[in-house]
Amino acid sequence: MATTAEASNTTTGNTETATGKMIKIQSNDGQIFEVDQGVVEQSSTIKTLSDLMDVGDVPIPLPNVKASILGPIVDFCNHHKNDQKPEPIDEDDDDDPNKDIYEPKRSDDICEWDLNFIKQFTVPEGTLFDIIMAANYLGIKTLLAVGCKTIANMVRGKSSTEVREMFNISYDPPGEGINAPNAIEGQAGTVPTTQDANATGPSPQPDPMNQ
Amino acid sequence: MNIYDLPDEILLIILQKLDMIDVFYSCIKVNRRFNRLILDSFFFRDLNMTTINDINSLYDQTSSIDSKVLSRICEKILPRIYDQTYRLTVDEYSAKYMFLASNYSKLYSLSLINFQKEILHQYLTDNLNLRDLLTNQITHLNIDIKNTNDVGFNTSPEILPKILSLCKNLIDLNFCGMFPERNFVVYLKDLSWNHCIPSTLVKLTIKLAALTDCLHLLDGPFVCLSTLIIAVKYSFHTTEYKNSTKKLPKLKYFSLTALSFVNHYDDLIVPLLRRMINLEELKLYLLVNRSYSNYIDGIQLYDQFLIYMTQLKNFAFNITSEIHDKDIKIELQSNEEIQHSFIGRGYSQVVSYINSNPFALDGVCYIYSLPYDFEYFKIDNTFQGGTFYKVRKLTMVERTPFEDRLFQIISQDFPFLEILHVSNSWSKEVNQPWLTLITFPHLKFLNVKYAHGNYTLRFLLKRYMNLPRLSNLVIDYSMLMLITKNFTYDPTYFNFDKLKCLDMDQLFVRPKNFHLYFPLL
Repeated sequence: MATTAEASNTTTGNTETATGKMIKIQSNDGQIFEVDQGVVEQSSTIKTLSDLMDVGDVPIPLPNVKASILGPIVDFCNHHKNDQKPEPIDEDDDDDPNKDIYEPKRSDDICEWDLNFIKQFTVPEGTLFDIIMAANYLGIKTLLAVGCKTIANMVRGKSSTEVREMFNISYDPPGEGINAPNAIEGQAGTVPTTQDANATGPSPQPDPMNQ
Repeated sequence: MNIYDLPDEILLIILQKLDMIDVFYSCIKVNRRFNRLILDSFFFRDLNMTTINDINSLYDQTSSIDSKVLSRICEKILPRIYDQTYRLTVDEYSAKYMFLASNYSKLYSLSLINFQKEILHQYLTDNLNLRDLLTNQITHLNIDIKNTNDVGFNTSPEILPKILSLCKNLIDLNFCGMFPERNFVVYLKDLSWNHCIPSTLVKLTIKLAALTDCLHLLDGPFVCLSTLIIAVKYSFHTTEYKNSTKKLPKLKYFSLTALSFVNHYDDLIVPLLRRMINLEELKLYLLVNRSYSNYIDGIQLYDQFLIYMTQLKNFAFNITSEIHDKDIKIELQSNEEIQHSFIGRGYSQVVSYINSNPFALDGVCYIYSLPYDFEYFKIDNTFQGGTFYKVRKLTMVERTPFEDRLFQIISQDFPFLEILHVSNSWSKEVNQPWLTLITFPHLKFLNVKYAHGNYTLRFLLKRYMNLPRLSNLVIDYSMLMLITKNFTYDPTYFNFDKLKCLDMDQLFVRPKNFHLYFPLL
């Protein structure tokens, strides 16, 4: 059962609970959340900051996360703090020819609670990307995976044109015009890309792969 | 915020959650940034042209790839990435597109998965591009053959020799040892070893029909192997075998998994292990039937073969010895004696427990080393608990009713369990309902064919069990009719929503409301 962290009303500095020392974290718009060690352990950023700083009763500032995103993240971590930890996978084992088979990438394995959790964040409002960015910044791998799998599931089976429309991506045809004369052959690393979400461009065009 | 505000590393994580086909179809042409990300990254080092990432359905795996999409990918994109691909995975559907050319200049690893054996044989015989790759480039090869509903066991002697004769540079071969529930096995009785195997081959993973096949393998040209990983499916002998005394000095790593009880531990397995004089790592998962003898313990393991393995650095084991001793009364060891037998002989931590029946003069002894290093586990009521992250396949078997606590315990102690066989025809009277909802979050395969109806009900009713990924069910027809009350019980009560395969002992006419119970069948 997830619970929302509440601001501490104690007057004696750190709060001790059954799950250990309580830590305060502060969103970039000033809201303070109090979290226990079970939550801290899931965020490599908060853990590192709390280890490095003898924070006492001073909240750890999280300048890249606003309260409307940090609150649900605390909920998420509270819900998952007693989960079994899978064995670490050796990411460097590139020589194992069976790697993809024995460790299949699964995007359909989002549990029901997480599915319902992630539904509150949407593409049109941009909050789905906010939560992904925040999970990445805070180093919460499980939440980052849920966010990325959600996007992957939205993309699966769609044509490129549909993907562009779904995410409001302006059409910027690879391999055409002055931007990327040989992009598809591998010289695209030097090609400037449009980072501005509001940038205007040609309207979606027919896609040779999807015809 | 827009998807474009995500940094490249996050976009790559998203792309990596997709099948390669989806990346090609949905993403590569979105715009220049996606195109650059995909083509400039290491995406194509491992090119997986299948949509089957794991075994969702053991029997009926059909590719969902649109042939037009695949054809366009092969025509427009593959020519640009041939020389970026080091490892390639195809199934029988994508193979016909992927082997239209053979100019994968850097390809060294090939996985041919989910093939029908006849189609694989045809490819190996007729497809010149595949044959060219196998002959000249492939050093690592994985073969997976799909299950059939054939009566009897599923074997084929001709594919393995064909591969061995084709692949001149092969270093590492996994032949039908990739997925635990596959029933294809190699049966060496009819194999002729007149032809050579690749002199480069040092590692072999293979699923064999019987223990004697393993012995024949090591007496033949495979004596050159340094790593041998074997699973043996059946307990019977396929051929007569006379123990060899020839040493196996090149073998450094040996793993033997017996998926059925073996009757010849003392006269076949022990002599074989004694020949492995330079072994550095040994893994044994054995179910042993013994008569007129005692449980296998630490002293026996040490005296029978470990003492001869002077180079041994790691020994992982799970050995279940079941004693049937009706005629001659032998006093079976106590668990304290079993534990004591492991002291002072260089073993790491060992767990042991015994399930004995003093009146029948028989019993079962479980010994396993920690940390636990096998995908398999077998338990009964005497299970001592623990946490087993590596176990994917569990067998529950008992001669008395299962303790209620056992179901809760296994859901916690085997958190990544995917395959479960329940075998017990005894059950307690159910006087009160089970109150705790138990979840098996990763369970995909459930076999209750040999389970009492109470256990079947317990697993299949949603009010008792939450099985969100159950895709394969093995059950008797009569039991299915009983628990569904001839398909009149409310279909929403059952864990059938995700089932893609229903394996029963007989064909039957589907009732009109069948799809309400099994929407994916």
